[in-house]
Parts: sequence; structure tokens; C-alpha cells
Amino acid sequence: MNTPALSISGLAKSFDKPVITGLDMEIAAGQLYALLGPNGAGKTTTLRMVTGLTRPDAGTIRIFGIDARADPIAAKAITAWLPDEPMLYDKLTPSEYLAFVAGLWRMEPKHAAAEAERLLHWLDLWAERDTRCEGFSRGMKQKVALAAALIHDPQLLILDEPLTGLDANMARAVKDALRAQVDAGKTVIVTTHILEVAERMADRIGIIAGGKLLIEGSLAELRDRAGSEGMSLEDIFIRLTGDA
Amino acid sequence: MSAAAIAPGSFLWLARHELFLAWRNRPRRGARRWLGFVFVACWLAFGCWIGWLLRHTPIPQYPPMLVGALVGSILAFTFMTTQAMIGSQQTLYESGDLALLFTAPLEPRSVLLAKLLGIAGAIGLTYTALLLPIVVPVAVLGHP
Repeated sequence: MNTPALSISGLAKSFDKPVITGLDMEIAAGQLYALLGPNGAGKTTTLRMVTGLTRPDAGTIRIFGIDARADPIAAKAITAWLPDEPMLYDKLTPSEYLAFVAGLWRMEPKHAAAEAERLLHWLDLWAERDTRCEGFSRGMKQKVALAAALIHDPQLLILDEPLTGLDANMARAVKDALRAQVDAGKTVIVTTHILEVAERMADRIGIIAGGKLLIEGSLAELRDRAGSEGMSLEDIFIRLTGDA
Repeated sequence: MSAAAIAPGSFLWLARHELFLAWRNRPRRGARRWLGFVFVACWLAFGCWIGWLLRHTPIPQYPPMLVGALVGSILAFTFMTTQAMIGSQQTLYESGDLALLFTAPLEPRSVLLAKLLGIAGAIGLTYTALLLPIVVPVAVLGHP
């Protein structure tokens, strides 16, 4: 049996009130998984715990079999996280930024430079490689951040609302890039409020609300469980989260 | 220094990145770029000039002068502390790069130490520039 890309068991986190309460989920490798949920459902908190940014109160997180709480450095070495508001150093150029991020993952500089060149060409940023990021549009910044997330060839790529605020062309470029990652055998987890994106792109979809996973499966499986064949994901989402 | 010490991802490599960012954050275009350098040079020249004029004048150490120096030191220390607090706040809450750094396979301790060094370095350089007109004449002229 293949090792799951992500396995979460009994995950719990409280701030002022419980946000995640005994979350269990498993995501197979080589899939694009969309994690959906209403505002405050705990999506971002869950992903921040997976990436090591937030310490869980309880539970286990395994990334390709590596216990992310016991051995966070090994887990982080094969993971990339792209937040909804990615941070770029405005005073650095894309080339410099990618070199820095590659260094964080201890990539050999020569290899990192070659990989940066490939990514900058692929994401149509090559012409801007030596321009400081401070003047970039949101879409271009998102693409630079995506290139940085991909530079160390992560096995698991986690993105929080990657398409928010992008125009159609930029959104298409990001979606194509994510699909290419999955086609190359990587695992991609995205959160999104744009349900059409999840409907069209995701291999599997999980809906989270009240700190628990309400339902999980392919779109066809979700329709089956919701009891209506022709139902859109939006209908399923509203029915489930409205009841939650 | 060994190659491993400045290898990508090491503490010194991170610290170098912080200093590089501080350098990049200086004004890039127009007169502002040079204004700081000109000010420090003038300030230094002024200190050296005063030191030169007073080189044969004994400076007695009256208690009020010592008290004044102490008050000045306390004020400078207060400003340094304030700057350090502002720098820490910017690092922790405004710069936003900690999310990137803490998701990288690095020891969080190294990341925070490098950040700390960056804050301390920036403050240290500012006050070093302010103290140059005193330090340089004392070093060169041996006076007072």
C-alpha cells in the first residue's frame, strides 16, 4: 500500500475557543486535493499545523510517513507552503528571491540557479528576473511565490487561496502550474472559496466545518453521498455547511 | 571560517541575508541615497575639528560633567531599547517572512538568532555612526 501524502489523526487546536476538534483525514499521493469550508471552519489553521507554523494541542500529522511533530525538519524538507498573502522581499529581484529560498532548503547554488531559470521561463517571469519585486502586480508576485515554493521540488505543495485576486490569465497560469505538478506525481492541497475551481480541478474534495471533516471524496462520490446526482458542488457545500 | 559555516541555510548565511536586506532597504535613487553618507562624513569632520581645536586644552572631569555623560548614556540606551522594540515588532508582526523561514527545514532557533543579529546590527551601526566624532578623535589624538 502506498504511503499517504498526508495523514492527520485526532488533530485538535483551540485558541479562545476550539477551532479544530479531533480532525482525521488522509490524502493519497499524486492528487490535487481541495479543502473547502466556510470562513472560520479551520482550513488555514489545519494547514498551518501541517506546515509547522502552528503547534497542535493534540493529534498526529504524518507527511509521507514522517511524523511532522517529532521530526519537523524532515517533514518540512519535502513540503512547500504558499499562504494567501505570500511574502516577497520587495527589494529583491525574482532571481535573488529564488536563490534565497533555495538556500533555505540547502540546495546547491548551481543546481538552484538552473532550477530557478527553468521556473522563471515556465512561469513567464524570465524577462523580469532582475527587476525588484516592489513594482510587481499581485499576480506576478503570486507567480514568483509559486516559483519559490516549487524550487526545491516539494513532494507536497500546500496553497491557501492561491487564486484570490488574480485575473483570468494569471489564474489560468497558476492552475496550469498546479495541474502540471500533479501530473508530475506531486501532491497538491489547496483551499479555495471558488467552488468552480475545486469542481473542475480537484481529484478529491474535503469539506470542513466546525473543526471537523464533514465529507470527503471525488465530486461524484460527494454527489452520491449528498443524494442528488445532478447537484453542483456549490449545492452540496451549502447543504452540508448550512447544517453544520 | 569553514565553508560549512556560511553554507546555505546556516546561521551565518541567514545573518548575511539580513544584512543584505538592510543594505537593500536603503534609499536607492536621488539625493536621499547620498544624504546619509554626507551627514555622517560632516558629523565625523566636525568631531575631528573640535578634537583638533581642543587637543592641547585639558578637560577637567567635574562631577556635573560626569552626571551629564551618565544622563546622555541613559538617554542613548533608552533610544536603543526603543529601536530594538520597534525592530522586534516589525520582525515578528510586520515583515511576514517568518512564515517562509519557519516552514523551511531550519532550526527555528537559528532563524530567530539571525533576525536578532540583524536588529542588533542595524541599531549598533546607527549608534556607531553617531559616536564616530568622539571615538575617532580620541583614537587618533589620544584626547581627552
